[in-house]
This record gives sequence, C-alpha cells and structure tokens, in this order.
Amino acid sequence: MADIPCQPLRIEALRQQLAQWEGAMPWRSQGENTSFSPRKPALSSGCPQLDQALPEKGFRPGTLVEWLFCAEGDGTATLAFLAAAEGCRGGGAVVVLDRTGEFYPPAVVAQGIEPARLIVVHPGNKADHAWALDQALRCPAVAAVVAWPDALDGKLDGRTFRRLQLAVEQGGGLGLLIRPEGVRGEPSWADMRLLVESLPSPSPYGWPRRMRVVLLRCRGGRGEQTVEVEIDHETHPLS
Amino acid sequence: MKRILCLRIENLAAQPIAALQSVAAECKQFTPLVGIDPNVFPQSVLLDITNVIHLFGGEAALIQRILGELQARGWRLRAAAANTPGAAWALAGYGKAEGGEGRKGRGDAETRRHGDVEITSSPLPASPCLPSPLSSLPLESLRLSEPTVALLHSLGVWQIRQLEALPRRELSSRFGPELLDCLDRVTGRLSEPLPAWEPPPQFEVCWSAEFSTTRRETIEAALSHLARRLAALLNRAGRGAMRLECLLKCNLSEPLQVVVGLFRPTAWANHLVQLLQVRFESLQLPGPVDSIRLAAASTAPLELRQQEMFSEGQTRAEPRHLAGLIDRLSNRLGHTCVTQIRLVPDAQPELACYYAPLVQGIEAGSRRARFSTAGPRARRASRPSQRGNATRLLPPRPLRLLTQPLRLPGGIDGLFSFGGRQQRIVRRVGPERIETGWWRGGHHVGQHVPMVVVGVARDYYRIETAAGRCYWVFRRLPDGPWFLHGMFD
Repeated sequence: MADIPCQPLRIEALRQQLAQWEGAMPWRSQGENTSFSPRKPALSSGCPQLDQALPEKGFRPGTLVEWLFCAEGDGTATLAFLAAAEGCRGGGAVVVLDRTGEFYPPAVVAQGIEPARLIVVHPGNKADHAWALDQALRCPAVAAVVAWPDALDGKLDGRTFRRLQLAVEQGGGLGLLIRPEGVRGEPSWADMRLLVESLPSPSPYGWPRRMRVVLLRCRGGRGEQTVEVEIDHETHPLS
Repeated sequence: MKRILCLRIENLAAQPIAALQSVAAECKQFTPLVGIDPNVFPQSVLLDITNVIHLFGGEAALIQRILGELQARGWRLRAAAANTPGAAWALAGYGKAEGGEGRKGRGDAETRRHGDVEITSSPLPASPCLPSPLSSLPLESLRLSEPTVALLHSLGVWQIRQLEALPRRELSSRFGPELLDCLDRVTGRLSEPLPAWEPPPQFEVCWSAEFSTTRRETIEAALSHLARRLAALLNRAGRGAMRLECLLKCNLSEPLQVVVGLFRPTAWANHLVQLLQVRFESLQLPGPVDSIRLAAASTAPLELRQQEMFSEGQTRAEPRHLAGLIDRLSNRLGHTCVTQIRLVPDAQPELACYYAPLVQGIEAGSRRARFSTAGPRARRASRPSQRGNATRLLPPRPLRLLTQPLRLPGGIDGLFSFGGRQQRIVRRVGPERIETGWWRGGHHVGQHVPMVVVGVARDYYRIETAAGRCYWVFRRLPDGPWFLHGMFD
C-alpha cells in the first residue's frame, strides 16, 4: 500500500481488490464446485459506451439484468437484444418470452441474432409465463432469455424474482428482463438495473439513435452513473 | 430332422411385403421361428414347426389349424411341409399342378383338400436322398435362374427326377455350380437357413391398479415406474421416443388419453418422467383410474453420444439440454406456443415472419402451408442469399409490431398522441411504400396474425418525437387515414 501515492488511486486499488474478492468468492456459489466452475468472463453489452461504464466491462453470464423503460418506443428492448446477440455469439439459444404477441423477430435478426438460434415462446397466462421463464433461465443451452415480466398485468414479486435469480445462476445464461420504470423502487435480485431514456437523435436522418442509460444498481459498481449511448442499425450487419 | 411348413399365399395385394409380414405376425402364435424373404421365397411364409408338432397333436392337425386361422382372415393359400425350406417351398408352389400323377404312382405323398386349400405333405424319408414327391416336380421349383432352366428344357430335362438321373459330376461342369447348389438345398445336402423374421418391437408398458385410485401420488408413481420400464425397452432397441401416448382407463368414464410430443428422440427415463409429470400437473382426472398404458407411438433411432471421460464445458451436452427445455415448454404450454421463426421474403410486415412449432404436435399436420404459396415473386426470391440481401436493404423494422394497426384519428401533423400522451414530432423519415398482396384473397392467416389480410397499399414512416421515441406509422393509401403499426422499443 505504501507505494500508492495519492488517495484517489488508493481508493481505486481497494475497489479493485474488493471486486476481486466478490468475484472470486461470491457468497452464493460457495461449495465444492467452485474450483470446477471458474468465473466466466463478462460478455460485452453490445454497446462500447455502456461497456466502459460497467464495472466488469460487460454483463457476467449467470446473472439477471433489468432494463427499465420510460415509455414505449425508447429503444430499451433494442439495447437488451444487443446484449442477447453478444451472449449467443459463443453458441446457445436466445429464448424470447412474448405474452403480448407483439414481438417482431425481423428487428432482432437485423441486430445480428441468427433466426435459427431464436426460440419464441408465447405463454398463455401469467403462471405459464413465470414457469417458462424459470425453465428457460435454468437451461444450460440457453445463452440469453429476454422477457417482459410485467407485460399484461404480470407481476414479478420478490420470491419469483429470487427464484429467477437462482435459476439463471444454475443455467449460466443471461437473463434480460425488460420492465417499466415504475418498478424502480422495488427490491431487485438482479445484478444490474439499468434505466433507459431516449434522447433526440443527433442526425437529421434519425440514425444513430441516442439514449441515456442510468446505472441504477450495479454489482461492484460505484453508485448511480449515467452514460450516453448511440446505436445505429447499420453497424449491426446481418451475419 | 427339421420340419418346415411353407404357406404360399395366392392373393397377395399390392404391397406384398406388408401382407407377408402380417401373415408372419399371425403365424407367430404357432411357432417362434417364422421366416419371410420375398427375394428367396417369393409369396411365401415359412414356419419351422419341428418342435411344436406334438403340442398340436400331430402335423396334420397343426397344419389344419394354421390354415383354418388364416383362411378365416381371407387369405387363399397352399401349404406344404417338408424337411427343408426349399423342398417345402417347391411343394407348396408346384406340388398340385404337375405332381399329382407322380404322387399317385408312388403312393407315399398325401394330398388332402381342406376347403380350397391344397395341403401337400412329404413323409419323413429315411435317408437324405431326394424325397419322392419332389422328384416329379418341374425344374422351376428349384429356384434356378431362367437361362439354366431354358437350357435344361432344350436338353429335354423337365422334372427333377430327370435331373437326378444325370451324373452329378457332369452337372457342375456343364451348368455351373448353381444347379447343384439349388438341387442340394432342396434335398437337404446343403443346409439353407430359414430367413427368420421378427415383428418390429412394440414399445408399450401397462400398469393396472389393484383397486382404482384417484390419488395423484399413486398415479404419478405408477407413471414414473412405467416411464422407466419404457425407457429400458427403448434403450435396449437403441431407439428413442418421438411421441408418447398415455392412456388412463377409468372404470366409470371414458378413458383419458394424453399425448406427449418430443423435439428429439429420447430414451432417457428422467426426461420422460418429467414430461409426463408436467402434463399431469394440469390435468383433471375424469374418475378413479384402473389402469395405465404407456406406449411410444412413434420412435426414431437414438443418436449415439460418446461418453466423455472429462466432462469439461457444456457444449456437448447442449443439444440434449435444449431438447429437454423445448419438450418441457411444448408439453406444458402447447405445441403451437413454442416456436422458431421463419422469415419469408414478403413485403408486408405482418407476413414477413411467421412462427413454426418446434415440436410437431398432433395438430401440426399441415402447418401454415399457405404461406409457401405467398405468390410467384415471393417464392422466387426465397433463396437464402437473396433473402439476406433483401433484408439488409430494408429500412429498419420496429421491435414491437402491433397485432392490429391502431388508427390514429388525429393523424401525425406535428403532434402525435398515443397512450393518453401528446408528443411533438420532430422528425419523420420516409415514406417506404409497401404495395403488395393483391394476389391474396381475403383469408385468415395464422393465430399470431389475427387479422384478415388482403392486398395492402401503405406509406410507412418512422417518426421520432421530441423525447427521442420512435414509432412506425403508415398512411393507408387510397383513402389516407393514419395508423400506428409498431414501436422501435
């Protein structure tokens, strides 16, 4: 410690140490299998600007990420699917749970998710939705699950949420939950809670789109942080 | 000494193999060894009755019984018993027409009439020489090739007796080894195996309760037991179940049938148990259950999985895990709810993509065949490379598409109101004109596109509000009202 000259640097070093400890020995995966399942590296979120703001430069597999949207049409789901596209790059399926029937797959295919990897599930009711979400998160062959748990009067209560978190930990995929901004005050079992707000596009053609992402909650992070991201539909060419 | 019974079937239908198999299956009740081989013994079913004759009170009684049984099912046949498959076949096929005189003369072959069935039976000979009733049969009964028969005919040899009279040594050098082989197979000098046939295995297990029960625990335990037994059967045969049929018989009401479809063939007991449990969780029992029958109605060969010594990484296990997830989801939510997407090069946004069930259920016989006839232009452009290019050139599509376009009464003149909020429009990108589908009549498409689709003519715009939110709206062309169709969520 003596060779660290000034206070900010020292704080940074302590933070890194803390993150290492947290990562190497998370309280929940203590057990005999820790040595066999080394920590998976974090996956990029698909947005370089967002990656910079995230403590691990991305999302770690086996965790839940909450995406809070303020209103429809603000691009939250697009960001979530960018993360899903990154998640399935190494193999595995992307499961989309769509209760409303309004999900439009060509948009995410254009974002770089192969159609063959996409499984779209249409649960008929709330109970089936919760069950299917749990099953999909629990499956090791699923790289990412995208769901709107609050759509159509759905409700994510604390116990269900906790169960989802355990499921995703077991499955090792990425759980991407797109939720309305109103749940901001509710407790969360997700590793990340990101609030997305749209901003006017800087270009007269409407592309790239600009968004402000507020990191409301972030494991190993340093409090609330705001980052502006830009996404362009042309930067995600078809495979 | 073996006794072989040959049944030569004279009214074989268009599918001889299937008919032979069904006869063979019926003959299985008399003897365990039944053979069919349409190439070697055409039109015939061979039964090895050596060790079962005494069970039926003699050969004649056994043959009578077999014939009675088969005749009742509408088969017309001729039967003959002999010591070798070849001799039995020869007698059954040619014994009646040409052999009558010879037999009478010798007096040691019996020919009886049983209904309109001809039974020929050659007695047990003392030595392995040619049994006498055979000697008067024509040469064709030896299953010789046609040129050989023609050659022998031209030499004046018509019956087996005449052939026997010729010196053996000369026969081989003059006619090739085939002639002697065929002769020896019939006489028994050369052994010929019976082409044994086994019916395809039935994967079916049953359980019956000592007294009928409505207790779910009992039924689930029985089901899990049945699934394990079924899995063992499947494993032994190297096959995996593609469709399970479970029939619960209730003594008071109609039997309840549950069908479970699978994404990938499996013989893994735990997985079958899970799938059945998922189905039974949401099932109302009609009454006390008497018995349960579990059958794998459709099976497919199991994929071989190499055992790994060190299971590092989950990539190998992935297909199995995914198949398991798909099976569980499909069976609880319904086959049509668990889908993969199919992109279609159709200009109309609602039709550019449709969902195809991952598990072929009972109802998925002709799934959305009408989409493939979307039009001559669409079909021509369905090559993957072209499709990729087409998608790339399209303006971006929204992530959320309303199932029914929403009429915007106020239009989009500077202000845009949706969901009770008024927003100022700062940008409007477009139009993208979509005018298509004139060839489609007004028919109903699919459950996920619950609208009647006819030809459309629309001008699509992507609008951005002051807050940066993006929507996809269109103006219906002939008359001009505005609709909201999607959100760039």
